[in-house]
Order: sequence, then C-alpha cells, then structure tokens
Amino acid sequence: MTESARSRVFHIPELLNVVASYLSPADILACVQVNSRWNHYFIPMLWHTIDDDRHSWERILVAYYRDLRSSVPRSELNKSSSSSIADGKSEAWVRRIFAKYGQYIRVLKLHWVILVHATSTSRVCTNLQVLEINLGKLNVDWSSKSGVIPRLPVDHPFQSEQTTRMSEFELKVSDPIMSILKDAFRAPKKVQSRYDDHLVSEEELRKGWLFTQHYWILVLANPALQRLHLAQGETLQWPVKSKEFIIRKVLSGMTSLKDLCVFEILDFTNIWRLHEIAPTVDTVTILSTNLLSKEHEYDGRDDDDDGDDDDDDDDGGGRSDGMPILGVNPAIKKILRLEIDGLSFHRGRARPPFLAPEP
Amino acid sequence: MKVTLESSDGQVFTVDKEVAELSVIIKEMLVIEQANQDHPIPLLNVGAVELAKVIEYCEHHRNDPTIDDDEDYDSRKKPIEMDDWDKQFTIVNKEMMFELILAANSMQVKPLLHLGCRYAADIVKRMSPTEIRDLFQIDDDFTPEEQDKIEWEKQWTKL
Repeated sequence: MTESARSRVFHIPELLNVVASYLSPADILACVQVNSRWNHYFIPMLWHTIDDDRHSWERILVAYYRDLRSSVPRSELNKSSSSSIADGKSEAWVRRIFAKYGQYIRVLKLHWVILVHATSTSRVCTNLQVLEINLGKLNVDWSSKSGVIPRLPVDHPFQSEQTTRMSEFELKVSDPIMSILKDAFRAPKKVQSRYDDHLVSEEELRKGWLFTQHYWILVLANPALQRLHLAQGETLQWPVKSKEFIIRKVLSGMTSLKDLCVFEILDFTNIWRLHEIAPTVDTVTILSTNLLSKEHEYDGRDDDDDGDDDDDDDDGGGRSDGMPILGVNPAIKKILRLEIDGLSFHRGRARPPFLAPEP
Repeated sequence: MKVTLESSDGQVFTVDKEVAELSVIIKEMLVIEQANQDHPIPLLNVGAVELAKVIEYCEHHRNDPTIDDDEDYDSRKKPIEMDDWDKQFTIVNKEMMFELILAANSMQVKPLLHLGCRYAADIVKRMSPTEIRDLFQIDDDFTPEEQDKIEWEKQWTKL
C-alpha cells in the first residue's frame, strides 16, 4: 500500500504553501511541532508574517521562549527567576530568535522598540517585502512610567533593557549604511530636543538616536521591499537634515517598491519627484498632513465617472482650484493611487483631474 | 469543441474544450498539440474516479474568472470564495478529497487546488501536534537535541 493521499499532499511544498495560507499562526505553530519534516516545511511559513500586535505572535515567542528555557539545565533555570527575565538577558534572547529565523520574514509589522532593535541587529532580516513600524505614542515619551513597551504581563519575555550602557547608543556597523545615516542625521550630541514642549533628557535623546539607527539599518538592508510604511513621520527619533536626502538615499535603491505610506515626509514637490526617485511606486499614502490646506481642498465637483478617463493628460494645466494641482505634473501620473489624510484618489476611475475622491 | 482525456487506469472522458482548459496543463498541451487531437490526452497521475470529480468541478466552474497566481506580497490574503455548490462538493471522504488535491495539483486546476487546500487546512486547524501526527500517521522524529518534545506539548496545552 502506497502512502496515503493525505500524507502525500503534505509532502509537496507548493501545496503546503497554499494550505498554510489558510492557517492561523497558532495552527502553524502546531504544525512545526509535528516532526522534523513538518518543522522544516512550516518554519518559513510561521515566520513569513510577523505582526507583534497580534496575540498569536506573543504565543509563538512565548513558546519559543519556553522551549529555550527547557533546554537550559535545571540548575540554571532555578537561578533565573522571573525578575531576570525582565533584565537585559531577555533582549539578547529575542535577538537570538531573530538571528535564527529572520531570514524567513517577508512581512514585518512592529510596534515594539525591542523588536526593531532585534531585527536590525540580527542582520539576517533582509528578505522583507513589507515593513511597517509604528510606535504609536511611545516614541514621544521614552521615559513614561509605562515604559517603552506597555501592555506587558509580569512574566513576559519582552522587557526592554532597563539600563543601556552609553557605549551602546552608537551602533558599530562597518558598512556604508552608517555613513548614510551619519550624513542624513545631525550628530546626536549637538541636537536640541525636537519635542520642545517636553523635557527630554540626554539619555532619552540618545535612545532615540539608537532607535533611529536600528530603524534605518533595517530599511536599508531590505532593498526588495514592496511596501514601506513610514507611519511615524520620518520614523526617526531624530531630526533629519534633509527629508529629500533620506528619500533619495533610501528609495532610490528599492527597485520593487510599489506601495509607500508616509507621514508628512513628502510635500507636494516631493511627490512629484517621487517618480524620478522611486519609479516603481504606484501607491502613496500620506497620513496626518496639512497638505490639503484650505485653498487646496477638493472643490467637490461631481465626477460623473463615465469611463473615458486616462485621456486627459494635458488637462488641468491652468487650474489652480483644489486638487487639480495634482494633475498638472506629468511625473505624478505614474502613481495609480494616492491617499492623503484619508481621502483616496485613484487613477483611471476619476474624471479630470485624474486623481479625484472616491465616492 | 470536444477534448478527450484518458485517466491513468485507461478510462476515457470527453469534455468541452473550455472545461478541460481549466487545467493549465491541458490548456498548454492543447496549444502544443493542436494538430494531433484524435488521441486522448493521457493523465498519468489521475485515476478515473478522481478525474470524474475534477471534470464535475470544472463543468460547474467553466465560466469563472481565472485565478492570477502572482507572488505578490498580499497573495496570501486572498481567500477563495466558496459557494454552496463548493461546500457540497467537498462532502466526500477525507482520503478522496486529498486525492483530489493531488489530481488538481498534477493537472494544475488552480481553483480546485485552492478549494482542496482550504479543506486540508480546515482539517488541521486547532489540532495539537499529537492529533496531527495521529491523523497523518507520522512519527515524532525529533531528537532530544532538537527539541524537548514533552516540554513543547505541555506548553501547547497551556497556551
């Protein structure tokens, strides 16, 4: 009797890929524990998409954590009380996990500073297609009692390092990335707090600098990104000399970038130049900007959607009212979809200007 | 226009060309062998029972739009639409359904492949590693160095 069909199905990697697309991370976590063959197949799928905002991700890491701990000799285990989990060792542990599995990550969505540091220092998270880092409000107040990582259960492996040695604020990376960063950002010592209404200590500023370095190392290490989400503005915890410089340096190396989400990093001039810099981008989302000043608001003209679009290339040349300003520059016509402050504009579905609000 | 297909056990089926063309493999064969259509197309990996089922599926879905199989970053997010007919279709014994997945794979009938894989995923869902091993009759071959198996299982029940 030959092998059963069910076993054969689960021996064909292409099929497993499809099967896994219908499984939750928790289900895939069970699959990696079945046997070594399943482990081999499912590990890349388990790590394909990492979103630390999802509960399943915590489960996965906790499982790894416990697994790791179970391999520690009992004598060691007794020594490591829950308090030692909270110290710097935990960060080293998360880094080890990412160093081992970071190569498999394609979609990375992070909210926790510690994980940004871990992915960057792993140096193997270089196959990303989607990167979204959003620290929410955390970045503004590094010193708050809730700490860099809120929502932490007591016995939780992800505590940020309580103390960081000053020497660690400067990453020692011997490649051109660091020189780009140094060029782009002002040297940390001379900088005034960018949050002028907050009191920000020198250490907090330095933490911001550290994070900034990690963040951009991660971005620059992933030239194959298709979607980049810079939701936190520069997602720089550090003032930048020139936004355009950053955009040029970062985006020009990304030949497959199609989808860019930014936070007031672009002004209108930048949008027009975006096509020169990153010709593959066809979707741009801009969050929380004041780009649509009052006189630039869409004037509400009806779009009658009669489908004869895309033939209005020279339309709008003389317009100054409202959104038509987007239509005058030929460069931007490569952008298929543009969202500004929640308003969505699609090329092809719109009347002149080619970018008009969705119904 | 009609096309004849021959299963691995020698049974011949005659179907409309457009139905047969839901199989990427057959579609490609028809392009190459346009002149030579008096012979049935042999499907060496597909038995008559499975082929009949595959044809039944293709007959029903003959007018569906084709699935684009792009490797885009969001391609994993597109769940396949399952209508009542599809649900009815998947009510067969498990082994048959897995045979169908293999048949759909060898014939490259993409929508059926996705339907089958979704079925397979539904079976595995919420199972523990032990339950999966039982289902697939496979042994746990982890060495102690690889993993502390018992510890893993304990963790699983805790999660």
